[in-house]
Amino acid sequence: MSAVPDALIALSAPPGGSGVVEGVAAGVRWVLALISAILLVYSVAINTSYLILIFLATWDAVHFHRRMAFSGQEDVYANPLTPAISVIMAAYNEEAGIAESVRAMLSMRYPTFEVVVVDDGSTDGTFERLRAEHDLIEVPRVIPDDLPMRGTVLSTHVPADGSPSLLVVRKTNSGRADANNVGINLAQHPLVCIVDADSLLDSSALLSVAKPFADDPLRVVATGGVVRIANGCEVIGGRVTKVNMPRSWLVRIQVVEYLRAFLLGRTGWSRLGGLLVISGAFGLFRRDVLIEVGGFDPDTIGEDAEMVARFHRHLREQRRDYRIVFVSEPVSWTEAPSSLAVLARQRRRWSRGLAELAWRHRDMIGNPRYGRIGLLTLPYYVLFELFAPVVNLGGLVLVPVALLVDAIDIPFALALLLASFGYAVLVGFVALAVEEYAFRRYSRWRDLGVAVLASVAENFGYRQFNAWWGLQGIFAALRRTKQVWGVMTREGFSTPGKPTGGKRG
Amino acid sequence: MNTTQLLSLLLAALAGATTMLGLVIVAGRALHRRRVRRDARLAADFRPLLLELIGGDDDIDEPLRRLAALDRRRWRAVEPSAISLLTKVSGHARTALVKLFEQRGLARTALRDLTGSGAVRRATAAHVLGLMGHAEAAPALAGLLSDRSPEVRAVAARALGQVGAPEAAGPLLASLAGGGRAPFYLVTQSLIRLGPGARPALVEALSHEDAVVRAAAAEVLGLTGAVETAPALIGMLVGETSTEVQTRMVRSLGRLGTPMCLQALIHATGPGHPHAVRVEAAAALGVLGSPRAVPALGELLGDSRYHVAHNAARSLARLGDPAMIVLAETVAERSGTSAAEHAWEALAILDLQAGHLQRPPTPAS
Repeated sequence: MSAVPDALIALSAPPGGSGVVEGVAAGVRWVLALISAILLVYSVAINTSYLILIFLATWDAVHFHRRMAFSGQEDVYANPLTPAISVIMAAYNEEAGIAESVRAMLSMRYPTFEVVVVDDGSTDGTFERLRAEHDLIEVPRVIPDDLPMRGTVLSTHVPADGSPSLLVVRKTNSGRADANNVGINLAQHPLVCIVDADSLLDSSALLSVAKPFADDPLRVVATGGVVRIANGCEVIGGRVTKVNMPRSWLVRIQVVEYLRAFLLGRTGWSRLGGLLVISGAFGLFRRDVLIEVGGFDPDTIGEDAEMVARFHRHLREQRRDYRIVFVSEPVSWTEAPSSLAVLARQRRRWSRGLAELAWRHRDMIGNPRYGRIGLLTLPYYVLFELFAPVVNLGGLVLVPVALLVDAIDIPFALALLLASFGYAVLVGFVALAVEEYAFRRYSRWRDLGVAVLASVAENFGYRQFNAWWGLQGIFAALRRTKQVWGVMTREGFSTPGKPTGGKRG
Repeated sequence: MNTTQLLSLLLAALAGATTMLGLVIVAGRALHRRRVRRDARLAADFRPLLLELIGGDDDIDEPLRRLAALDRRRWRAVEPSAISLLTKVSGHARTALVKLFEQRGLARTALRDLTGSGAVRRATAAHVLGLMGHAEAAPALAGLLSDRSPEVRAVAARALGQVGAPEAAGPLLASLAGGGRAPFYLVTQSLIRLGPGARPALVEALSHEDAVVRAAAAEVLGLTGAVETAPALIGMLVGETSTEVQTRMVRSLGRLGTPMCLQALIHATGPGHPHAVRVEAAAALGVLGSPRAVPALGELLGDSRYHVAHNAARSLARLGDPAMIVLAETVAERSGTSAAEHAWEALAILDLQAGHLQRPPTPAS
């Protein structure tokens, strides 16, 4: 604990001289040394917080695996009280993969569920592909107005054989959040699962995310499933059949990042009872609570996290006993950006979404009325997620300045930098160790080696670029510029016997 | 020690910890792979014996003797396959496997482990005893319903259903009280497995002070077709304060389907009841399947609440010709209203079920 003050005294000591100029120079040096110390403390704190979350997640993973032999997942399948699910897939220009995605979704292992595809005004052949695949015919459907809708529903379609398991809705384009709201309005079942149209789910994923609802039907209001990266994996019939590391280093680093921040980080938050983010790519919600909170907000770019924040707000204000749970196995697989431009757009969007969420729910931050979410999760997200780009880039600018004016000496700065990177690498290795002992998704030795190198490489360039994009996202939120999702260029998945998918726009 | 030295020491510690973790990862993977290969090899060696045991031949003595005599290392590799098989087979095959487990002393060990110190040990023991249907274990398993570990409570609840002792109904229901000590779905599933012997306890639980207990009892009575308990359910529905319990009671009345239930359900669709109860009652009338519900459901088509009207239309679509006439009349006579739209949608469903859609998407077109 005494290391920082000692360092300050040592570092801020002026090299000599007198007068006003010397006094100002000494002051500047002292301030720069203080900022350097703050950066050091911040770096230690953020990595320590990751470490704590990973240890909490480890506890959960150990429990999960020890329970495997007697967990009785099959009981959920066989139980007549297992709640039925409406899976909502909002699709916009998904012609390339929609038929396979819906086919895979319809073959999920779950006793009773329907798939509601909301074609959000696609300009390509998304609907035609579905019509051809499922022999769709138009049917009359009275549209409920449980949630407000901005787009206009044009038509509703079901398979000509009368199968109740698929409903396709065509509507004018109004964005993903509104498309989800339309799907929720039309959902027949008490649980609503929100997935991306290009998500690949493990066949028992619905059983796993629904199990907490079956265990504790009166308290559980939402569950989130883990999202992993599908680039490089082998995909057959819309299912990931073989897990491989991607070929691109940019995506490999994201694999390690997803593991640490999303899988283990969110599991840790769930363990603390403070889960804030359920990915829009795979989350299960009680329909009645979705209606109570007003569904997804089309005016925010991070609509998935914002809605979970509203869940917490609403249920806390009503003093209801509730749980939001994260399920770490099995998973939904998604394609990660493989180019810097697309990754930059995604990260700017995430950062902007978080900034908007923090601003909209600012009265919850530090407010004991909102329990752990108000006192722990939201302050953490603001301090270590939202402000992280500011601090990281601030450090990159200020440390050279401090070196230039002799506020800190070079050996100390180097040691500081190495210690900071070393701690981050250590955290990454701990995450890899948990993956290796608890999940074992990457079975090849080569993949393990790649993951180790990616954990190290993440700290050199990738984090700094992320910080820059994060800062741009914060500025976009401050300027309130028009929200743009941008195009996610897809490369498709590798299927044995077929060439790699080609571009999916 | 100055700051730079301190940082150097820290760096060395970080490098050491990272290297150590790397070694742990590599060693863990190598050991795991070796163990998996060895167990797979051993299990493959003895799989023919297991299949012979459950194959239905009269003479199981030889495979039984050889499997019962396996040393501990080999049995550890075979046991997961044997337990997995036990969950999938029935009749002679199941009896043979249970006999093997008895001879290997699994039941004896599991009974002892029910009071072990580790939660995993207690849960595993309860799991094995449940799979074996070991009736003598029922009292001890009932005791585990209040175990401090949630996993143990869950496995005990499931095992009691597998054992099938009706006297476990009371403890199972009680385990739901006070914030849900055992998982709801496992308890209800076990109560269903207990069969008619559990019904007195279920009827008694309808007046339990805890809403979760009442909800479970109501659901199980409906799912097990306990028609003789319909009067009790209807009686309790009148004074029930929890909407959640009322909804489940109404659903069960639809499943039980007696004339008495019909009247109670029609009553429950009335405007004086909570919205969720009315929605469920409108659906339950369709499940019940009596044409006598048609007039009431026809009225509900014009209900101002979407889900009440929607479920009424869906229920009418299940009730045959009299309902079809009401739907067609609603379309013709109440054109332009939401009632006509709901009726039109229901008629389209009937078309699809008949194999061809005759109607355009909207009545007007």
